[in-house]
Amino acid sequence: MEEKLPNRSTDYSKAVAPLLTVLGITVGAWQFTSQMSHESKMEFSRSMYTKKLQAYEEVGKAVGDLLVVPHDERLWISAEDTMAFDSCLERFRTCYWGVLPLVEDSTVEVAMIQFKDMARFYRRGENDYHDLAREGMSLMNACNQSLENHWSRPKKGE
Amino acid sequence: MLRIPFLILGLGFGILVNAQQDALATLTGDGSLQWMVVGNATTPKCSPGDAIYTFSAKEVVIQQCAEGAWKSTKEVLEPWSAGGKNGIAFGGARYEVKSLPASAAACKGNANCVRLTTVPDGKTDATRSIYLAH
Repeated sequence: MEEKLPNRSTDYSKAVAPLLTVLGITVGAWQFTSQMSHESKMEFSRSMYTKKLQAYEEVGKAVGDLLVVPHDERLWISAEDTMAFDSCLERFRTCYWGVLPLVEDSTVEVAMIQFKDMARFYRRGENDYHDLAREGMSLMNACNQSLENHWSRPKKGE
Repeated sequence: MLRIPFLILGLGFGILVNAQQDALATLTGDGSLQWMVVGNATTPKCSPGDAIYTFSAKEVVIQQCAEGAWKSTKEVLEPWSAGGKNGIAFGGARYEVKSLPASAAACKGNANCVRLTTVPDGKTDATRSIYLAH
C-alpha cells in the first residue's frame, strides 16, 4: 500500500493567503489612519495660517493708520494730530492685547512691543516720525517672516 | 578680486563698532559721567525711586535710595548690537540709549538728557524706561 504524502506547497499557500490578507488590511488601515492624521494636522495648520494672516492684516492696518495720522509726515507730532493719533493707538493696543496673543510668534511679539513703545515716545515728542516709521516697517517685516516660517517650521506641539 | 567684499565687510564692521561706541560715549563722555534720574529729590535726604548712575567704559555704579540713604552697587557694562539696533547692557538687561531734547516733557528742562529703554527679553511684555540727566 502506498501512502499519499501531503503536498507541502499547497499547505503553505493555504497558510500564507490569510496572512497576506490580514497584512494587507493592517497596512491599509495604518495608511488610512496616517493619512487622516496628516490631513487633520494640515487642516489645523491651514486654519492657523488663515487666522494669522487675518490678525497680521489687522495689525498692518492699525500700523498704517498710525503712520498716516501725522499730516505730510511731519517730523514731530503736532497738536492737531494728537487726538487722531491716540484713537489709532487705541486700536493698535486692541490688536496687541486682543487678537495677537492667539497667533503671534516671539519675533512678532518683540516687534509689537517695540512699535507700541515707539508710538508712545513719538506721542510724547521724544522720537521723530522716522523712528516710528522704521519700527512700523520692522513690525510688518516680522509679520511677513512669521507667515513665511509658518509652513517651513512646524511649531512645538503641533 | 576680494578687495571689494573685504572693503564692504570692513565698512560694515566699522559702522557697527562706531554705533556701539556712540551709545557708550553718550553715557561716559569718553571718561566717566554721573547721571541722575530726572526728578531726583534735591534735598540732602534722598527719596524712594531716586538713583544715580555713574557710567565708565567697563562698568556702571548704581546708587539707589533705600530708607533715606544711598545704597551702591556695581555692574559690568557691555555694548550690544543685534538686528540693526545697539546699546548697552548691564544688570541682566539690554538698553537702547537715546539722547533727548530738553523740550521733551520727560526731561523736565534738563539740557543733557538721555533715555535708557529696555529691549524686550521675550519673558515679559513690559519694557522699562529710565530718564537720566547730568
